[in-house]
Amino acid sequence: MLKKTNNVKFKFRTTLLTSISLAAALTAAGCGNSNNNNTDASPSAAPSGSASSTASAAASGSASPSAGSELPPVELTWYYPQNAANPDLQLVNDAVNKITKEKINATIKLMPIDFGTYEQKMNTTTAASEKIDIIWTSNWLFKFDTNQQKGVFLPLDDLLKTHGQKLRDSMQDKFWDDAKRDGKIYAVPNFQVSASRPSLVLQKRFVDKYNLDLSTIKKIDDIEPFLKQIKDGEPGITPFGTTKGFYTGLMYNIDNKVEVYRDDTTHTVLPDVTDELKHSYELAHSWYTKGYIMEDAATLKSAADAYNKGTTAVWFDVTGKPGSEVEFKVSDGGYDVVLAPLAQSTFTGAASTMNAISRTSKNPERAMMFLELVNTDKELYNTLVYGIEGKHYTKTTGDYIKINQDAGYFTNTDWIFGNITNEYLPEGSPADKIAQTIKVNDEAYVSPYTGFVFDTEPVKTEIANVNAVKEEYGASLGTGTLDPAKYLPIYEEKLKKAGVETIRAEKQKQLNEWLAANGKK
Amino acid sequence: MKRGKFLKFVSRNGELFIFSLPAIIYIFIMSYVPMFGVIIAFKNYVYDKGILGSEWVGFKNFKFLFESENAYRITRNTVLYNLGYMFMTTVFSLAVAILLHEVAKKWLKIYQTAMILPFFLSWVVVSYITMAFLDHQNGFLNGWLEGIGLDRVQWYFKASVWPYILNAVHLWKAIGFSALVYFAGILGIDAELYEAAKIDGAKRWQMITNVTLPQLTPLIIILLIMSVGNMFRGDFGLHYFIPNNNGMTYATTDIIDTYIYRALSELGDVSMASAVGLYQSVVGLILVVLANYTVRKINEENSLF
Repeated sequence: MLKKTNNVKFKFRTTLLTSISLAAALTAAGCGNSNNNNTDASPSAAPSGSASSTASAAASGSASPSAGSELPPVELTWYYPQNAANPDLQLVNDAVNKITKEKINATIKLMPIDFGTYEQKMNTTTAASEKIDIIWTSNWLFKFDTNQQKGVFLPLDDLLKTHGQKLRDSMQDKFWDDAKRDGKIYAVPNFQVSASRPSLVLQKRFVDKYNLDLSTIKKIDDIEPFLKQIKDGEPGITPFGTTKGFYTGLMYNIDNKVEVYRDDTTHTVLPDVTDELKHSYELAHSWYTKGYIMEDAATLKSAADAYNKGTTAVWFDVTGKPGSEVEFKVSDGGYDVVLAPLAQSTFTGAASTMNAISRTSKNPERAMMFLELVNTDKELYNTLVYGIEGKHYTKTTGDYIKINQDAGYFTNTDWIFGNITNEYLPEGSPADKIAQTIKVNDEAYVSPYTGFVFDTEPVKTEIANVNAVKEEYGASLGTGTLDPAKYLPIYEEKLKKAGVETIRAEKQKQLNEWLAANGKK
Repeated sequence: MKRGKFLKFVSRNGELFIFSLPAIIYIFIMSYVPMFGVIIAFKNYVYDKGILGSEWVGFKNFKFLFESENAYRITRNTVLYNLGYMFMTTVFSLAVAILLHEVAKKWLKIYQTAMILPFFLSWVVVSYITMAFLDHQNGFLNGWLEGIGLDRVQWYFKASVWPYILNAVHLWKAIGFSALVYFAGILGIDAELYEAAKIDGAKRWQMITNVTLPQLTPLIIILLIMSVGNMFRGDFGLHYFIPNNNGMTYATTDIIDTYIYRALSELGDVSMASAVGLYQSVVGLILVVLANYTVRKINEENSLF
């Protein structure tokens, strides 16, 4: 009997050990998961070091502005966002390398990442101090300001002088000013439409059918009768597509650099919830209840979800850039669209798409030479945008080309790579697209607050909590899913508790200081 | 003397230690080596200055979580959901493991495979499966509801249904693996005990309550203690992808991990994110030690350490 208990005891021990091993395996699996979500950032951030800074310092010592063949061969990596993966990326990459090898004896490793994960992926990549050379950045995705503050980018002034003079001269100062922080240039803007002209995008077939006179559309409310016609006459068509709503201060005479009424001589920073925003929410809610906006609008994730099935008659686009008819046509199921501008265009700055050189780059000179090449070499630029001639596109007449969308390389994002004045025109673009672009940039309203950058550091805590509140209510109020009469007060209350007023006060303080320092007040 | 005893213990269980070696190495590399990085939580981490060169800021990075108006809501959700998951998974997978052992001899492999399959799916895939059920226009559930003459429900806008959905989805995904662990535990029980019980005239139910469950108790307790450690660490994938990260259901789906993601993904502040991770780990450690202490007070045999 005694022996038996011992035996049982031993068995128990074995069970215990087995289960501990199993449990350990379980925990291990758990760890793997937590590494993927971004709250647990320490593991990926650990392998940082000082090696990178010394490497770039050593490299910058050897300046040799000369022809490609005399330079030692190097490989550069370039991270930028894309809509979708292209099966022929390698082919195009090889074609790009052929050009760059010859001209600057460098090969480029193209690293496209989809728009949805770009921010997160780049946050991790840069936090881990990975050795990369060129990073695409902007004021809306992988933000230039915050990342510059975190020390992600290399200052470019000297490099532009030694290796990029041609590039420096290709754009006016007002473009470079947007890439400046503390008087130094940190990125190369891609010349494109740097102005926003909030517009409605309408499917041409419905505009023609219902004889809509576009000149009668002066503000967004004016479109309502047309939406009703669609609702009544076109079953299966969503009258108005939106994912986050259609509010922008640009439509309501609010400055784009800091939230101040353009004609306000007291320079008072506006609260987050303005009367105009309130009106926009009310309008959205009335459209939602009338069935003009799709039921699921608030759960849609990407802006293109609002129209990419071709079943949406009207949607809102904040940029409304010349030539965007072609881009919308390919992404809305092939239907022609027309634009109805709702406001004067505003120079929103070149910061909406830029390429910067990483602090961790081992070959910053060569990266600068590449950036100059991509912005000045027509062949290289068009290869990146459209792929290989004869395979992914064919030339038609003049600068026009016919794109074969299904051939394996299709970007639809000329503005990611460089100066769009070098591009071939896809069929259907207005012949004066480039001239129009330059004109819009030249004529756009330039904010008197250009140069003011809000330093978020003192109110980081509040911003984090305000962001969370905005994420919670923004889409549901913007799309009209929630009734603003009931939920707007709740939203405002929550914003207040999250510290929105502290942020506004800090912004006002910084603005006043900036105005005083610049002799504007 | 004590050391000699330990070595003897190691050599006697050599094979088992070898089995656990990959996991030990994995945890060492993935969890212990990067631990030095926790100092980021107390710094204002700027990349070009490096981890060591960045400025110390004390507890500033922890501030935003506790100052948040939602601190109560997300803490409550995280803890309640984890309690729910713990309870449901334990009870149901025990039941399944016992059923597998008692009745399902013939189709054992099929049952096991079918149940463990969801365990290997990522939450993104699962989110599409749940969407097939819950989609407002084309989902199965709304189809059935209409079929029997009821109104469609906008599941993704309705906060009150999510505690049930999330618990069900979690159980569906977790039960296979958990049942397997308990099933392995049951197989480890000495057959002589069952024979002895049979001779004493025990019925099936009595064998379950008097042999199987008591023998499994240590295993159950170990697994419970381990999951108590994760009480403050929600399942990000489950709570982010399954409710489709939708503002209208945050009241019942938002947990610490999803809130942090929302608050910081745009700010991209590594230091603040690390601060939260550290906070969750420290609370988890305290809870594990406390749970173990309690178990040891009740029955020393069953405690983990």
